[in-house]
Amino acid sequence: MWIIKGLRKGVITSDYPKKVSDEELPPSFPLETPKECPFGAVKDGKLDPKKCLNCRLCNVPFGRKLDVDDVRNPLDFKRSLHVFFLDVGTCHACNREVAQLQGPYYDVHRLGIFFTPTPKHADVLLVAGCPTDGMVPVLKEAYELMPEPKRVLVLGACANGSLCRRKVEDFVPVDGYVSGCPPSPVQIIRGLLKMAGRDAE
Amino acid sequence: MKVLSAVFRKNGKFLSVWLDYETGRAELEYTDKLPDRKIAPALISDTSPYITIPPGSNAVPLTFGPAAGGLGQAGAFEILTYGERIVSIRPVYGYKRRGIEERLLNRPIEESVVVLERATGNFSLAYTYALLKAIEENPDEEVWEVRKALLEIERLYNHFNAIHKLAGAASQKVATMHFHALEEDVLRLLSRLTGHRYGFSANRPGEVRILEPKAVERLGKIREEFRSLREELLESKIFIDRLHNTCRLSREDIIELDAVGIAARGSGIARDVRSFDRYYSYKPVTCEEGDALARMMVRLEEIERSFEIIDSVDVKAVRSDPSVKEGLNLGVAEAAHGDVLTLVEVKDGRISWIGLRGASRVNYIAFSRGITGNIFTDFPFGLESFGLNFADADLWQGGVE
Ligand code: SF4
Ligand code: SF4
Repeated sequence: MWIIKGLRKGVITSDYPKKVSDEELPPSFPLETPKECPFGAVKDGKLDPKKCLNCRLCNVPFGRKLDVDDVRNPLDFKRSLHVFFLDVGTCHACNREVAQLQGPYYDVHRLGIFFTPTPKHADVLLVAGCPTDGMVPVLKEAYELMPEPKRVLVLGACANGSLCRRKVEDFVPVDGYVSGCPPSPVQIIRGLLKMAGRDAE
Repeated sequence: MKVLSAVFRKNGKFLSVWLDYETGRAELEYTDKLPDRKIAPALISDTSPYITIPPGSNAVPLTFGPAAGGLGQAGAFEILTYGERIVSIRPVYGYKRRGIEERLLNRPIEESVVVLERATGNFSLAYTYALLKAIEENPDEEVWEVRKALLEIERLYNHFNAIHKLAGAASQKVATMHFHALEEDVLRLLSRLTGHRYGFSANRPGEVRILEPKAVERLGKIREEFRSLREELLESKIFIDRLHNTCRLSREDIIELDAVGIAARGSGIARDVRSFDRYYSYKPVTCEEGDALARMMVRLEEIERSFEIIDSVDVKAVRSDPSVKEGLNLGVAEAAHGDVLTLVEVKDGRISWIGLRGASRVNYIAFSRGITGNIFTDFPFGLESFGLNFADADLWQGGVE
């Protein structure tokens, strides 16, 4: 019965990165720099997308935007990528978006991206949330345990120091950022592909 | 029957909130000592004693979390076990204490709402519902109707998520994926409707922002799909067997531990804020058995109800201009897992103090009671049937003194 049900539903998996559908585009993002931002996302007249909460309180035009990431130090991995996800103090929305990557809509296995339950098998440490007192030692230890070459990809405004006093880069070296609150699944995939040295589009 | 719903620290005293779920009457009480209720220590902090091994026992203590792959979030359980049976267990709070709550204070209310949404993202519509309920004077009926519909949409995706997790624990791979897809369908709908996948920024003071009202029409298809999945799911005997009798809570447990939400309703106790919320006329769904299966059955029925409620609302953007109530006020909302409670003090139009209590804070304790004596492999079934998370449990238990 389940098989028939599956057939009836047809293929729902995203074409991304070949194509991104309107449905998958992330929620709205300020397209212009607002004069000021109550949450510190505007500094010296420039918008820091890493800190923007997508809250739309500033009255500037908003639109859907995919390329709000900044990956500085990619790996040279063409085939597969193993990822360890660590929540260091999220509101749980970032976790849900990461979980969706393994759901039928995004299914990152098709791209050779795998989640591992231990940092010892990971190439990328995917971190979300404000580093809390309890989680800072865990974060450092997870980083230590990873084999070389290793990279850290940070997700979401919290982990980038918006809302909280601390940010992930205060504790471990960071190689890439994905903005958003929370970043949408396709944005996370884009960040991971870039981190693997693969073309995202 | 009065339930100890929350305890906060305020002005060097304990401020307790007692709630009667039959009448909706709430009482606030200042005391020097914690109220004499089983749940009281867990409400105020995570100081409940660490597990001690009874003399002569060969059980071993073990900590699960806070970075364990299985939990997927920062939180932990201390478990005392022989390797198979769970002799004793307690949740460890604090790993998620982020301190963002104080960023909520002393700023324009609309900014406070933005921060509050980020306290527990997947229940954000419930939190903002509760906060605005507490502080809006002369509320606009229409605005609240739409907020109610949004709250039900939030319930839908969270209930789908809980069922997806339960099916996942039983390795019912196909059902897992179908429910995971349903969750994503609802998130996409919310994204269309409000411009955000989790509905952040939809509830604003005096206003509810809806960008594309037509998006709710998609619920028709989601409902159809849910109905056929539900039938299929309940036919799977292996799955039902795993839930049956797992993590059982009696009526007495619920009463003793002041448990709320799905946990209470699954044990036959009709604690549901919607039964006295003036924007609802709702009769709570209950099930008597008190096990993981009962909690899932309650969810399945509530999903149907949510569809009906949303159907009855004309979802559109509405604006009104209510004034802000000064002083200390309470707001409650029934989120997907149980009620969330905000106790807010407003001074000169700004929030000067706030206490937040999510249902997870209470119900993790109920879960611990239920799973005691079960075997290890029952753990995920028990846990996921409550639909809790640590972000919600680790909220601030008292404002700036
Ligand atoms: S959307 Fe919100 S966080 Fe981003 S710049 Fe505007 S006001 Fe600041
Ligand atoms: S970045 Fe936003 S969604 Fe992610 S954990 Fe922080 S508040 Fe939640």
